[in-house]
Amino acid sequence: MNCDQVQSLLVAYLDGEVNPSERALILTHLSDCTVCQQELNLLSTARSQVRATLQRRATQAGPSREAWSRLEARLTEAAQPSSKFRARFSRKAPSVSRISNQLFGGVIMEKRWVLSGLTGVIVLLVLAVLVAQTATPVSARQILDRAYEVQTQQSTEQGIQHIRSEVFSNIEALPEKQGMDTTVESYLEPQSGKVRLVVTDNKTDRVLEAYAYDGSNAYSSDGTKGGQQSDGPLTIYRSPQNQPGPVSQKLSGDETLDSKTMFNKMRNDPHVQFVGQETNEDGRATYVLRSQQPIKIVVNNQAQNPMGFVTMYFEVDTYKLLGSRVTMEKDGQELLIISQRILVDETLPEGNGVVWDLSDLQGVNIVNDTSGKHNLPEMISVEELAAKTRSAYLLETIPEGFSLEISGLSKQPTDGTFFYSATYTKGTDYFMVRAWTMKPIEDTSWAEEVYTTNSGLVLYFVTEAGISSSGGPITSAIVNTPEGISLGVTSTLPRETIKALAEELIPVSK
Amino acid sequence: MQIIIRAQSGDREAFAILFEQYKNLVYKTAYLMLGESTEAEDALQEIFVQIYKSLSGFDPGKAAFTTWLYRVTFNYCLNHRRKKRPVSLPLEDISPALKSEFPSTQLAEEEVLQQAIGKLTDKQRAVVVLRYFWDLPYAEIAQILDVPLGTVKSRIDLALKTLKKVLEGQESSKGSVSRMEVCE
Repeated sequence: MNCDQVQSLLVAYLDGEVNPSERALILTHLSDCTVCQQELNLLSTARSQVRATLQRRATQAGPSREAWSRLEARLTEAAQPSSKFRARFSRKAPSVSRISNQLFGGVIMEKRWVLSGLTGVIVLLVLAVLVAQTATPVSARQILDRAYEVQTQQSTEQGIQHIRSEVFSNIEALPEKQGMDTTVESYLEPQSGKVRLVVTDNKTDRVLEAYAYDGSNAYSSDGTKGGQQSDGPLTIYRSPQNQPGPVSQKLSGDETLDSKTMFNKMRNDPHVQFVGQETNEDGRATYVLRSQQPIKIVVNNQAQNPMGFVTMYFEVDTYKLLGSRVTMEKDGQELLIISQRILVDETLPEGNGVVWDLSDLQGVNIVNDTSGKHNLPEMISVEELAAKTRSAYLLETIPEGFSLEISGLSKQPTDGTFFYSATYTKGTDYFMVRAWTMKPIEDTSWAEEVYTTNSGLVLYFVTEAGISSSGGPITSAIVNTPEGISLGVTSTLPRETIKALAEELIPVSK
Repeated sequence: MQIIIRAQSGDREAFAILFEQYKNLVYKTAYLMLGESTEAEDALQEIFVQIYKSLSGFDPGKAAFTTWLYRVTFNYCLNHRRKKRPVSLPLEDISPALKSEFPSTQLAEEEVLQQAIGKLTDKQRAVVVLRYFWDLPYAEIAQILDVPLGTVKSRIDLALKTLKKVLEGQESSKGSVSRMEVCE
C-alpha cells in the first residue's frame, strides 16, 4: 500500500472498521512512514475532539418537562381524526370535492378511474390468503398481523391468481337496497402481466365492464359504461400494447377506496376493534374486525369523504379475507355502501386456459380502437416525452433510490395539452407529476397552503385527497408554472419533501 | 419488546413508557442535527406523533426498534433541513454554564469545532452524530440511513478529514474561526 491508499483507510482504521488484512497492511506501512503516522495522530486527535464536543453539547441538552404533556395532547388529537376531519370537510366540502375530481380527472386519470374497479378486485388477490395458521389469536392486532403475513406470502406465489366475488355497490349512498349487485371475476398472471377482469350484473347476467391485457393487446370498456342501461351489447375497445407495465401499474397504483387500502388503514388504526367471532353463510368461522375510517362516496358526481365503518371478515383457520363491508351513518341509520363476499380465491397453474382476450364473452362487441380514444397509457421515455411536448416538467435528476416511469396516451390531439404522467417510485412511496391544463388555475381559494419555488412554480396544496396503499396520507398540489400552464403533483412523501422536490422540477425542454 | 407490542396495540401507558425510554435518543439526535433546542423540542413532538401513527407498521423481524427509531428521527431531521437549504447550520452558542467550566483556549477550540460540525453537509453530520456521539458501527449506520456501507465509510472519512483541517487551521491561526464552506 502507498501513502494515499493508507490515508484513505485511516479513519476507518481508527474506528475499528477495516478488515484484518487491511489492518495488517496499514500497520506495516505505518511502521516506517512518518508522514502517515503524523496523519494518523492528527486524525486521532480530531476524532477525540469531535467526540468530546458532541458529548459536551448533548449532555447539556434535554427535552422540556412539558414534553410528554404536549405530546399526549397531540396523541389524543391524532387518535380522534373524526371530528377534525368532519370539520375540515364540512368547511371545505365543495371546493375539496371539486379539486379531488380535478386531481383525478383528465384523460389519463380517466383511465385510472376505469381501472379502479379492477384494482378494487385485484387487490383482493393480494389480500387473499392460502396458508393455514392454527394458533388462536387473542387480539385484533394479531389477526391483522397474521393476515398480513399470509398476504405477503401469497403475493409471491407462482401461477394465475383467480378471484370471484359478489360485490354490492352503493357508492352514491342511496337509501338501502338501491345499489347494484354484481359478480366480479378476475385473473392475474403477475409474471407476464396478463390480466382479465369482468363485471357482470347479477340480475340480468349482462357484462357491465371488462378489461384485459393478453400480452399484445389491451381491452377496455372505458367510456361505454353509460350504455349499460340500454339493450345494446357492451363495446370493448382493443388497442395494441406491447408492454404490460401501464396496465399492471394502474392495477397496483390506484389510491381509491379499495380493500388493500382499507386493510392497511385498519392495520394502522390503534383503535381497531375486535368485534368477535361469527359463522358466515357457508358455515366457516370468521373473525370480525371493525375500524372507523374516512370512506369515499360520490354524490351528484362529486367525491365526498365522510367517516364510515369498515368491517372485515377473516377465516379463523386460515386468516384468509372472506369479505368486507363499508357502511356509514346517515339519518341515524347504518347505510351499506359496499360489501364484498369472496366466493373463489385460488391460484391456478400457469397455462390454465384463461381466455385473456375476452373472446369468450357473450353479449359484447370487441372493436379495434382506431381513434386511440379508448387506449391505455403506454410507457414512454424522457426523449419521447420531450419530442411530444415542450410543456412537460420532470425532476432535474432522479432522486437517489427512486425509479422513473413516464406514461402517456400514444394518440393525443396535437393542439392541446399532452397528457402524461411521470412517476418516481421508491418502495411504497411515490412522487408523481403530470399534465393538468394549458392554462394556469385561477380559483385557488381551496388551497390549504401556497408554496413558491425559486424557479417561480407556485404549488397549491391540498391534503387527504386519498390514503396511500401503505396506509399513509397522500398530498396533492396543483402547480402553476411561469409559462402559464398547470401541472398536477401527487405524492406519499411529506409535504416538506414535496416542496424540496418541486425546487428541482424543470421543463423537459431543458 | 413487550412494551413495544403493547404500544403497537394502542396502549397509551405503554407508549408513555416508550417515550420515557427513548425521548433522549430522539431529542439529542435532533438537537445535534438541527442545532437549536427549540427545533429539537419541536422535532421530538413531531417524531413521536409520527411514531405513534406508524408504530403498528414497525416489523421487529426486519430491524431493531432503535434502528427504526433512528431512521424516523433522521428522516425527519434531513427533510426538515432540506427546506432550509442552502443556509449553513451554526449550532447554538455554547452555554454560559459550560463557559465557566472550561479554560478559554479549550472553549475557543470547542466553538470552532461545533461551528465546523454545523457546516458539514446534513448527510455528513448525520454519520458523525451516529458514529461519534452514539458510537454505532458503520453497518448499523448504513441500515439507519438506508445507504451502502461504502457510502457511510466515505462520508465519515470526508467529514472527519474536513473537521481535522478546521482544527489545523485553528491551531495555525490561534483561535480564529474558520469560515470554510464544506461540500460533499
